[in-house]
Amino acid sequence: MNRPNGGVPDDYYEQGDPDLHLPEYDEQPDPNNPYESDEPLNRQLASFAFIREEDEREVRLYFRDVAADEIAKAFRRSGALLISITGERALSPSPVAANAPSDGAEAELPVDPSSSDAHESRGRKRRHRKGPALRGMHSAQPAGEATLRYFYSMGELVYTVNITTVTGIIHSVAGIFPAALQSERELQTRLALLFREATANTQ
Amino acid sequence: MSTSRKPQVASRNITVPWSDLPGPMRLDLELEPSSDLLGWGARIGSAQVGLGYNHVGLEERVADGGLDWHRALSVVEELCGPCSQANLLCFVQAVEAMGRIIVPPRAAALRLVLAETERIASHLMNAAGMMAALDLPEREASLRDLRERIVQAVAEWTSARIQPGLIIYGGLTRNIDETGIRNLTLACRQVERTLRAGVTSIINSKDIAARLAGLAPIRGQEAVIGGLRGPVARASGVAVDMRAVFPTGAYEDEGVTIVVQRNGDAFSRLVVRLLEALESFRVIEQVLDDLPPGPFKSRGNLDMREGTGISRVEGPRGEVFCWVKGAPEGLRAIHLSAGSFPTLGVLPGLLRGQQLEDLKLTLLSLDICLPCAEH
Repeated sequence: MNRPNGGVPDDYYEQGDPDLHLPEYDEQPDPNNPYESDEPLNRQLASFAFIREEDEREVRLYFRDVAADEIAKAFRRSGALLISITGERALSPSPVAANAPSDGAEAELPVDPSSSDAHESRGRKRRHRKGPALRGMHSAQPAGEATLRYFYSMGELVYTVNITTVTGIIHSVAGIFPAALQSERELQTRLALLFREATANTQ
Repeated sequence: MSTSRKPQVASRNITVPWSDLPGPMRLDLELEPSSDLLGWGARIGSAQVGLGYNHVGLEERVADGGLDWHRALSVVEELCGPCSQANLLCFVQAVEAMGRIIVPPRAAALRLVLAETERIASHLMNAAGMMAALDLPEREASLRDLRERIVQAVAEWTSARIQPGLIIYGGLTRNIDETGIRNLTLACRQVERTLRAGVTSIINSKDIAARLAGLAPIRGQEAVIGGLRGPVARASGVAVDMRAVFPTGAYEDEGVTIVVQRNGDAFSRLVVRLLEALESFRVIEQVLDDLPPGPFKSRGNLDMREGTGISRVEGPRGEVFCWVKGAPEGLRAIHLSAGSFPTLGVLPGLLRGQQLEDLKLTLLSLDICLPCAEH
């Protein structure tokens, strides 16, 4: 076969009309201004109080104690896709949490951090391997307020949506973006969060 | 007193041995009662995926105590063997976005060569595995040989077969000289020529198509909803490739053809990977032909600043997304989402109703990378 691509049938290089593309937007944005495309999104998010930062290809939005599913719906309506979810607990635990024994059965005595025994003891504890069932138990102790980060892609922009919560109860976005389910399960274990399923219509 | 006797049709539960799995994971299957007399053709009623064996707790450990910037490079690179360059490139680019670090064009081009050769090696390895599962040892040997030749050609430049540790913040640790460029180009041309004939033969093989066509199909809409990435999504008609959609580094100057198939079955996934390997050869040769002169790393010491950064890179198994938070002293937080992660989410649903004998081919066609997916 003397095809120019070495015998590979031409129809295998399908660029023109694949079944699916990235979601199209109602209003075609100006290619020279990538931020113009998020005007409909901004209108939907206007009911929430948030801080917005723009940085080349990333837009960072900071929310506090808002329903994550409402934000997700706004992005879904704007044609965005969810890339991933991550989160973190505040590093400084509350005094009560810091002094409380980890499991009630083994309360560690305060040790002098400068002593070599203390270092060895900590080293041994750190080297202890946890099985899959125990993984995440240590970090699952609620320490402070939690921040969830949702990464949405819309055109050439990535939206990093930071939602800070004091209660540790977050609205699940799995009903809007099913791919979020796995990440939410992992974060629920790791950060001791509770993902509440949305009851409203997802659209 | 009449007693009605119901037919005794009990379902079986089995745990798939590791040799049939893409890595250390647990796969518990519940089989539907076999319909034929000899018990052949058992179908999977439900599947449960057990993970956790590859978990190294990268994100938790960094969040707990931070990580030195230089140590972070090796930690991220060593997360996974087959995807090490994609993971590292994504991480480094996120740090560079955070620190506003400019990468010299020559370094960006050479990074592209590393990423594309890794893609070729990964795709050929997967295709060879498929051929082995199809009991086609000659094709398998041929693909493994081609992979070995390209890995060896790159190793002559990098001095390492895997995880060469070349990519650093602001560039690379090692340049490539004219002889190295010539040797690598020559090796790529030779391997590509042989591979092209092999790909044509595989695509036109009725035996392979008969076995793989229609196996474990994923529709385009399902791929989008499930958030699937990379060749698995592109085989279902989803034309998303970060090299074209979100080009970074040297990809901004190189046009990459997105290879898309429509059927979404195991055959389509194999075809996508093979054609992508050919496309990667084209891109590499183009870059090496026109390699920019100049430095291969930023001059002077890099001062990291406090902030966050993101990056998206198309790895062998799909989009790798990285978010970092850093300070001058080191990395404070990291989130690395690899292409295989969403595939694990759809696996139980995909296996439901599959014939048990197709399990290995189905898993191979999905090309799940467990170390990346559950780090």
